[in-house]
Amino acid sequence: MIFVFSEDNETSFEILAEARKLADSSKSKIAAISFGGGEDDYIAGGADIILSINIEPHEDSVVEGISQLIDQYNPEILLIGSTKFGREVAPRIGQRFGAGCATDCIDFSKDNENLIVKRLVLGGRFIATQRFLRKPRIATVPPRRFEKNIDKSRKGEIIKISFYPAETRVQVMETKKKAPQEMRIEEANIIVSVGRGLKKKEDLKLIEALANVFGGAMGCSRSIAVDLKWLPEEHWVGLSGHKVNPRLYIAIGISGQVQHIAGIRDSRTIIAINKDPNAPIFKACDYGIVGDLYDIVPRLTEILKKQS
Amino acid sequence: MTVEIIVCLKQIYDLAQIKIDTSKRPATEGIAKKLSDFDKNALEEAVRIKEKHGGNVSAVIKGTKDAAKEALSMGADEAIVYNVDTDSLGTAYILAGVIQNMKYDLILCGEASIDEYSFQTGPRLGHALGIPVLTYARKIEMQDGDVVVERDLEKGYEIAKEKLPALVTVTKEINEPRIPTLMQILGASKKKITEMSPFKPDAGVETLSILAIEMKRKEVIIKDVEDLAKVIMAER
Amino acid sequence: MDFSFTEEQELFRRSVREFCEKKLAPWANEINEKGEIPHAILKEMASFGLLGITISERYGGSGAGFINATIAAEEIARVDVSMATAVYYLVEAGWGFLMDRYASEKAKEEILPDITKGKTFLGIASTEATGGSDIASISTRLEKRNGKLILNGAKTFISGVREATRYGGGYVTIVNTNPDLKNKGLSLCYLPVKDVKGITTSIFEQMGREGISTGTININNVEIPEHFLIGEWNRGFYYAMEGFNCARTLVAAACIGAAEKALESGIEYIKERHVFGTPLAKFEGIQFQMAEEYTKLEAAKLLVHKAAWMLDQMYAENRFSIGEINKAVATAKLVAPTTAFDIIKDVLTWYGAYGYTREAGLERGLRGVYSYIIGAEGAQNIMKIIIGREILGKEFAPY
Repeated sequence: MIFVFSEDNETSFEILAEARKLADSSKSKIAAISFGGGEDDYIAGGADIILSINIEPHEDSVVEGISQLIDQYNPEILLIGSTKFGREVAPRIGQRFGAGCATDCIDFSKDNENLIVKRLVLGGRFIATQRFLRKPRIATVPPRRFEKNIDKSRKGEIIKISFYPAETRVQVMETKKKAPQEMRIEEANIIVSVGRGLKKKEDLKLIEALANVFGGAMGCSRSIAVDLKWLPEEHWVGLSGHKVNPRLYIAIGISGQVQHIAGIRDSRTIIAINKDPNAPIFKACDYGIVGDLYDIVPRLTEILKKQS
Repeated sequence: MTVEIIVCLKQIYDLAQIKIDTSKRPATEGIAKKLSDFDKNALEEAVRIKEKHGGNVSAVIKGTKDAAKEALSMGADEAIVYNVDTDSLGTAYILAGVIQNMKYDLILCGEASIDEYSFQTGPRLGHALGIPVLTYARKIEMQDGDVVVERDLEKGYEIAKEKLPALVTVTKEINEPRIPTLMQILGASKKKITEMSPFKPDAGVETLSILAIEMKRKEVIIKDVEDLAKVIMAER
Repeated sequence: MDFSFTEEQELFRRSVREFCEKKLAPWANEINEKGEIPHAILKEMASFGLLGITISERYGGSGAGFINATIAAEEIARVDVSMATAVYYLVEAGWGFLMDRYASEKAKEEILPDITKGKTFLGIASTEATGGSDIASISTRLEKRNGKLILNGAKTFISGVREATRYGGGYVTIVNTNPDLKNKGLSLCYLPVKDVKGITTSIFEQMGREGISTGTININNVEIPEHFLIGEWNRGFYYAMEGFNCARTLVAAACIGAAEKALESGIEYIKERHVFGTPLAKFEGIQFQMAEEYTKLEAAKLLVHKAAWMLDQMYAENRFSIGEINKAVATAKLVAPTTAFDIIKDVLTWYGAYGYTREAGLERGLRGVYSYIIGAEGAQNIMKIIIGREILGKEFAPY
């Protein structure tokens, strides 16, 4: 049996779709674990069983609850959404069962009966292939990595579980909303960067709006920082500016001079938006779209906003 | 009250210096090692708590003796080093074995090491020692026998309180680790370093290979903004 | 024999590098463009223990030996290749050390703590209009009149004149105390320059290292207290030679630091930059040049590190004669600036048109390092005279 859990509903569906492929290849069943109700769609998402626990998820209660289910059902595999919440509960469960855990797995496959996972290591420049030495095999799965797959015709069973956890010792006193954070550009996971294609300083807000959709950092080419001084030099990406290595680098209206390309070389994925089809950036990107940034960026921002 | 603090640290390669060898594996020979970044935040926080409340800071380090010197230079009072390669499960076994014989009120860890980014050691160690865990702290306050932390979660900040002893993992926002001065480095040479060689424990995960991600760019031209959005959602 | 640094020295290098990359590097452009090192940065360097690093702990220094001082000089010059910050650092480290050794207790208590706090500046005032390297011809006079010390004369091409008159501080000043005795008639004193009656200054526009000023100090009947005499009367020549050995070692270190950084960036660039579909690094014309420059840099480094090590051995273990030290320092100071100049020039050339821009940051390194080819802290030909004298004997000295 494969257990799937995330306190984030969307992530649960994404993992279920990936778990389905693993389950089908080994003819095992998938149990989606749900805390606090509202779980009916997990069957459509790919689960065979829903184990529905009658309490709200908290780190301690989830560790306790899933552990009891592991004792009862003895699953081969436990897939947990790699949110901050999931990254805490997965290793705690692992330690309880003397089992390993692979964090942020981006690829799953089977080798005989064992589960093989791939994950990024050493600053995201290398990919590690790992297998599990004991059970349950626990892996966390990054949100938005896999596509969900809803099939309303799928049938399954819901098992209600009453669970009375020991009272959690942690006392939550207050919660506060987050303001968009300032971060150092070298440490950013996502950088939205702009170049000479921008016509005036005020238009930076288009770029900022796109960056804000996923809390990305703003970068720029030499001309924006040095010549025009529209952004401080902290944002300057390039060999003489800052060398960056984000997961995703979006170059908007940046032609792609060699000094700039050298500064973004270590990025995992580079996307280019430029109206000049011959701009050198298209030879240095993974995905490119030819067009006017004033047309593309606002539309892109809108679409991404809806999906986030 | 004074606070007995244990900080767990890992020595890692300077990632920026790692090159790729001809068989696409990481080439680490001759590359400088340093304490992992967030672990240094944990140590800095421990030293600040000690400076405010008094007490003692012990560093338990996976690495070599020069990592111990770095930690002592940053303000740890003593260091224990071991150098056994294992996974997060094994690391928690080793750390728990070392720490269970020590006196502590508070254990601090970085939220993750920057080479592996597994986020596991803190939560696992807390479980192994049977003490509560508070993750992703960007602020820590000591309040007579309790620790109050501000946790940095996806959607907001959560202020949570817990009785000591407890384990807290910290984020990089919590402080700016001090850079040891020459005087601190030379002063640290008088502090105690204990080298341990624990048994290699059972691991839960085995690494089969580590290979460089192909740097060849795909150079795919997309026509439609909708498709571009999909690519971004998948790659983010 | 052991060519490796100790664990503490390696740790110190990493520390200084982290400090410089975080705190100093963001200001490198501004230091060059505005022609000054922001005082706040100097204070930050001081609180990290970099300023007056060789001065003993009781005056707020770190009591560093010259290997550690060399490491810091290299690291500072790596991030500010213009040499400006390195110059500020190394004159204080070199001459602060000398003051710590020979100045009166009262003078040290008055002067050194402000240096190590980054409040005031300490420099060296040796050169006069008649020349710099030939210090036996120094004519600035120090006289005792009624138990007071009175100075008259003029010093020129002096580093840090604007800084010293703005922030306070002064100079280890080489003065003539007995015109009949040549070398043996020189003395050393500390000369404050801020708001001192009889002191006037002027500043030169220079071709490089804009971040630290160079100027002239005119000294007209300036009275200093007796305890500002450094060491013994008429022994100044020997103290000065000792101070020059310290400062020259650090000059050489700064040069190789700047060169090392330039070469690293050049190596990255030639791998990245493609011409005719091939990386520049694949062309032998470039690759062989790179190999040669790397080798020269390694050779220069070894000379510098050996000189620093010998100084430490001399001060801590009483090893090596003055002659051996003079020779080792002179060879390091002879080789390092020219090596650095050649390396930076080659890297600039690899960069092509971009190398010629200010933004590439190489031209300022070239201009900065050139000051040490011209002769700051001793001209190249003087180094040769020293080496020649130590090998052939004093009877072959040209003076």
